[in-house]
Order: sequence, then structure tokens, then C-alpha cells
Amino acid sequence: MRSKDTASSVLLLDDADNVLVVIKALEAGDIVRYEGEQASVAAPLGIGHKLARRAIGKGAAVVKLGMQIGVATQDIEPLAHVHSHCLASLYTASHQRDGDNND
Amino acid sequence: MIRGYLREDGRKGIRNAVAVVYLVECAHHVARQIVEQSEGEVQCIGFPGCFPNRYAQNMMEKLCTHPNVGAVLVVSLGCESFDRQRLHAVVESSGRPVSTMVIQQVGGTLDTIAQGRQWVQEAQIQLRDTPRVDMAVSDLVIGTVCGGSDGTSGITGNPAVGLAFDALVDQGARCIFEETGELIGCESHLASRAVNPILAKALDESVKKAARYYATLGYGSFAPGNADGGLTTIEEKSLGAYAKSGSRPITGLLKPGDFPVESGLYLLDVVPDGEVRFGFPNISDNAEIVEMIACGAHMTLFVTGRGSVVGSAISPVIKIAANPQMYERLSGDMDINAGSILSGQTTLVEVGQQIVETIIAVAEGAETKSEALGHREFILTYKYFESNESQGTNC
Repeated sequence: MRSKDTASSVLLLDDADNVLVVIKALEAGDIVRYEGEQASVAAPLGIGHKLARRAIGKGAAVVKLGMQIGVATQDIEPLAHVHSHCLASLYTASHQRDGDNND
Repeated sequence: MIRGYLREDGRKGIRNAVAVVYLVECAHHVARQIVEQSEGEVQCIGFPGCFPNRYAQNMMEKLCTHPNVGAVLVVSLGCESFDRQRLHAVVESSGRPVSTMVIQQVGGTLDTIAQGRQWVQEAQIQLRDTPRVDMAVSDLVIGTVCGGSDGTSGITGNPAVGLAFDALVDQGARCIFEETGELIGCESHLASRAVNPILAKALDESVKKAARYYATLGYGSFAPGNADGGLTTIEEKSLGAYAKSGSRPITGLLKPGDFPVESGLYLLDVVPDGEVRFGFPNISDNAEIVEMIACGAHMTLFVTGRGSVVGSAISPVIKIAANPQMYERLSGDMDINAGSILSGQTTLVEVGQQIVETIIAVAEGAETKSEALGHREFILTYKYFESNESQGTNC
């Protein structure tokens, strides 16, 4: 386990949000703590990626900057990475390159 | 104190450039040579197409009478469709020195370049006598665009611009944000900020029009690079872009070339009306910047996460780096480092203030990075707007 000041690695943009934004790159094994929750980072995450502020149930709205950015397509654990594998647009599908792992 | 250049129509500019305008690609080389062989702030702008287009005609008329432009040299091949007499008349009636040179009549490349250079020199002597007047923040028109966005754009540069816009609107400036295709998901929030119900409906419809237009093109405004940068959905990207608009009420909806008549915050609807034609609405960031300028923008705030290096003809571009890692690599191109917010060196409020201070400095004559580096990009392509098709092309 790496030891690192991970409290300042994530940012809450709006009180209504249920996601946090990574503002310092995180590596696999880093421990992230926020509001009493704690989790180990599964895979490297670059600046701008999102973590769940708290548990988000399948079908729930994902809220960032105080506004809905889509819907959870599966249950999301606290401080888990929130991206295309668990979050879908209410408008149009987002296209990615094949094989991308979003790092 | 900002000392503006007073034009005969009462508008005030922050630059005093000579524009050399080619009316078809066939005249581009001659126009560019006139610019390259001239001293001082002489800029090449133009339209590449030989087929007529009312949008392009309207845009060029607005650009050539922009308050940052002091004199205009029109370079025509001679057989293109662009209405050069009309453009000449519009510039002439604005009180600016103007000349039209038709390459086929003047006698070809070398003679037109020689006569063009001579005319530019004489125009520059006249421009030295342009009256200078005090200019307040309330005289400024400021546009904003974003390009090469990533997950930092929406949390640093864009909200910082939003704070700057709030401050500018409060001081009576006219502020313009854009790209309805990148506001998908924000339409109900946009509508809730409209100053009246008619505008609310128009704002909502402009975003829905953009969604339809992009759907027909089979293209959404969401690229793989956006996902690499941590953005997941189009509405998430939209929210980041929307943050540039700040929090003030929305006063009006503009089409390219419309001047915002009173102070306040405006949305620029860049997506053409009607069925899809002529391809993508704006094929690159400079196409959006040119439309901002045609609406009267004295300068454009450009927020970039991945790192754009462009500037623009006519009006300076202030580049705001959203991503601190990109800033490290491209600091020579960036005017402001909003990425410093992420490392805790600065706050959003401080960067917002820095943006306002930079706007004042640039209005007072300070060069932006892109100006100093010689960036004078310009692009104008075909579009269709209903408002251009009615009586004449002025709206």
C-alpha cells in the first residue's frame, strides 16, 4: 500500500453531488478517504475522473455540479470509479475507442 | 484606462487593424502576399467559395465593420459570386477607408500585390488619426469558447470564466457564450435563466435543433479524448461547457453576426436553420471564434484542457489553461493557468478576477500570447440561417 495524502486528491464540486472529481492522479492501491468512507483504488485514474461520493443504486441519478449527468446502470460502491461501465447518458450513447480503459 | 479607437458608427475598438479580404480562394495568395509584405497590424481574412452564400456575405460585412478594424482592402479575382460591390458599399458607408482590387482588371498577381501594398501603407497613415476615446467595461463585448476539453475544463477554466462573466455583466458588458450542440442536457436550466418566456422557449428550441442536427450528421459532440479525460456522458461534458456562462440571467439569443444591443449575457446559436446542408456547423474552433467576432466580440476567452494554440484575426484570443499538466507543456501559449486551482495555489474566485484583469490589460493594448506569436487564424465556410435569407443580408 502506498501512503499518500489522498484527502486532497478528490474534490466535491457541489453539495448536491454524489460523485467526486479526481484532481491529483491516483495509482492502483492508493487509499482514498472521504466523509468517513475509505476504499482502495483498483486501477490508475487520471485527473478529471469521477469517484462515487457514497453508494449509488442502479437506476439512480448521478449528479455532478448539482445537475444530473446520467443514470447508474449498476450498483456503485462508495469511492468506486464512475465511468461508462456504470453510468449512461439519458440523451445519446457516448462512443469510445475499442479497448480503451479510460486511463 | 482603456483608450478605444472611435468609429463613425459610435462603436469603439481595442485594435486598429487593416483587413485584407480575399473573396474566393483564387484571390487568397495575392491577399496573403499583400499582408506578408506589409508592416504593422495587417491581417488576411477571406472566404474560399465561389458559390454565393448569404451567411458568408453577412458575416464578412459584419467582420469588415468590426470596431477593431480600421480599414479594408477587398481583393477579388473578378469572376467569383461574392457581391464585392455590396461589401465595398457597406464598408464605405461605415466611414472606413476601403478599396476593391480586382485581380483580372488590375493586371494579375504582381501588379495587384504592388498596388495593394501601396494602398495599405496609405490607409495606415490615415489610421494614425483615428480618434482615441475613453472606453469602459460597459463598452466591451466578450465572447467565450472552449476547445480540446477534458475533465478539468468544467471544474477550473470554465467556472472561472463564468465568474468573470458575472463580474463583466454586472459592470454592463455584453457577454456571449455558444455551441448549442454542447449544451445538450442543459436546455431546461438554460430556459429557466431566460429574461422572458419567449426567450426561454427559443433557448430550449435552439438546443433541441442542435441535437437533431448532430443526430442527422451521425456525430455527437463527444470524442474519445473526452472520455480519456474522465468525461462519461454528453450531458456531463455539456455541464462543464455550460459553466462558462456564469449565473446571470440570459438576455438574448444571437445568430452569427447579430450585435447584442444591450448589456447582458447572450447565447450564440451557431447551428444552421433548416435541414442539414454544407456539412458540420463549425468545422473547427476558429469557425466559432469568427462567429463571436462577427457579433462584435472585442476578444474571446478560450478555455482549453488538452491544449489549443490558436489565436484569431481581428480580435485577440485569451487562452485559459484548465489542466495544470498541459500548462506545464504549453505555458508559452497560455495566458492564464486556471489549472493552478487543482493544486490549491489559487482559488476559482482569484482566477476569475485574473481573467477580468487580463481582459482590461488586453483592451488597454497588451498583447495576448497568441498575438505575440503571430497567430491570426481565420476561417469562414458555408452556412444557412433563415435570418440571412430575408430582405438583404442585414438583420
